[in-house]
Amino acid sequence: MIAYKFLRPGRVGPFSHFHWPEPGAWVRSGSEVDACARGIHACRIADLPWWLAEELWEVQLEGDVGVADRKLVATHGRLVARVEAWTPDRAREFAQTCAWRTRDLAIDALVRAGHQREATRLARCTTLDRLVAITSDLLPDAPGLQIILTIAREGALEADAGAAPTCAYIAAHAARRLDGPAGSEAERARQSDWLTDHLGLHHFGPRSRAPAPKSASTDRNNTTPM
Amino acid sequence: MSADRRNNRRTRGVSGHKDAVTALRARDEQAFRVIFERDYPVMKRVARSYVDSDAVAEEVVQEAWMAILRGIDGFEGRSTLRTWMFAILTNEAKSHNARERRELPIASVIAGQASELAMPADRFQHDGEAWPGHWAIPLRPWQEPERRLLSLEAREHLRRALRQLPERQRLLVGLRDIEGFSAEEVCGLMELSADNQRVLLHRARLRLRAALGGYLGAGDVPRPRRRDHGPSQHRLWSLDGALDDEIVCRELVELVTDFLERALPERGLGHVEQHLVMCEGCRTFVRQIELTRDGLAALRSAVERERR
Repeated sequence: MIAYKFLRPGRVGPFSHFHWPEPGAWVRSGSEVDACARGIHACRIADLPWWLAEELWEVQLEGDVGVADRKLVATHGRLVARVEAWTPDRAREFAQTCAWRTRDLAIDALVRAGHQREATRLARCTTLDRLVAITSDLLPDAPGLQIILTIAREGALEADAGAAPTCAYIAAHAARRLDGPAGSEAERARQSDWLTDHLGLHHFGPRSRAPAPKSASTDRNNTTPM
Repeated sequence: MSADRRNNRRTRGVSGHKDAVTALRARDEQAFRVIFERDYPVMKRVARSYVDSDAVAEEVVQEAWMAILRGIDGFEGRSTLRTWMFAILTNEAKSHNARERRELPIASVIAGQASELAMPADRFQHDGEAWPGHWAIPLRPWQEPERRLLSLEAREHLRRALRQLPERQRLLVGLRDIEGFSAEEVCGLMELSADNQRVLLHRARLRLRAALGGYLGAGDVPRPRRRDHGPSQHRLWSLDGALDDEIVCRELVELVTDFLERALPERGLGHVEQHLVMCEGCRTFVRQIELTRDGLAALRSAVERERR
């Protein structure tokens, strides 16, 4: 099946530090799949917001493919092609989108608490700098509202630094404060939709199961995930 | 893996093991001298963790070697030669009455340390703040750590910090990170469960990281004065991850050794990795622990050079 995988610059696994071979070369991890400890790790589109990194690749998984917590794990895999649309500029755009979403969630919290005037001021922000300034100025009397404004401010600051994974987390965290775990999940789904639309990703279904490749270029019989 | 560690593993490899057994059985004096000189320092350190003085530790090592040479013909090879030798050594050490003070059950040692905070509580945000359990102030990366870790000054900092560790932590981290023993070997030598071994190792590495941070960085920045929210009520994350679907920085600090030792259950490992994706402060922290471990491994090559 085809899936996605985030890597560090130079095709390096974020946790294993495994250097992936050129696209097309198979990597095998041994006969057993053990999520996290062993196997070729990849993402479905819905998993992507949790694993953001500098490079996004389309990968082909074969052999035994299992579904684990927010990831896929397979015995064999190879890079197919880099998703060229995921660039530093696009990552920054995604970070900013998350920051504005966090702002919207803060507005929602203010409205729910009856602070319409503050909500309106926040809604009028058009730049991240202004968002930082206003969230510092607004001082609603309720501690919970101060917290959501702090979260919105930090989202704006992180977006300014281009920290896409952190901004995505901050938006999900803000949604959780408002609507609990369901809110957080909905926010992650929204992020996943953004990535799909802006990067031209495809929801690949599992293909008919192919036999494991016979001539893998790289054997990975250790216990380190990739 | 460092070259030192690879070399260390190689000397305990299968071919070396068989050669050593054959040589000792043949009473090959030169081989005996090589093995004795190679293992004497670490044997003395192990013995010293059971007895009260260097002199008694030296005596224990001598006695252990007598027992090793007496028993080598009966060695059945069910463990490595080195593990067998150290088992004899610890048995000899235990036979000395002088170690009574250290005969506290390890569980009490662990229990005593369980309340010891890995990091001051003030390093993390409290309940009532925006990010309970996350860094109050992110850690600063160390300055040029790879280069500076090789300096004599860094080595001296590490050695001094090692000397200040509680005895069993010092012994354990020395065996694991300096001498290159595996977790299983150390559990056998020190009679620790796998969990207790990781707890002691974790405490030792955290203390050494803090000491090294005083040299390689600006140190851990104290938090500015702020309104006191009281102690955090944030829940401690359970290892099965059943309580929540994410962890916070304070929990990651507690789990870092389990993470690096690949001892976390699947779900926990996934949570730690997801946290690291988004948290630069924790990535810095994990890197600093890895650098501390590398610095300790570099001590071994320095010791070997000094021996030569």
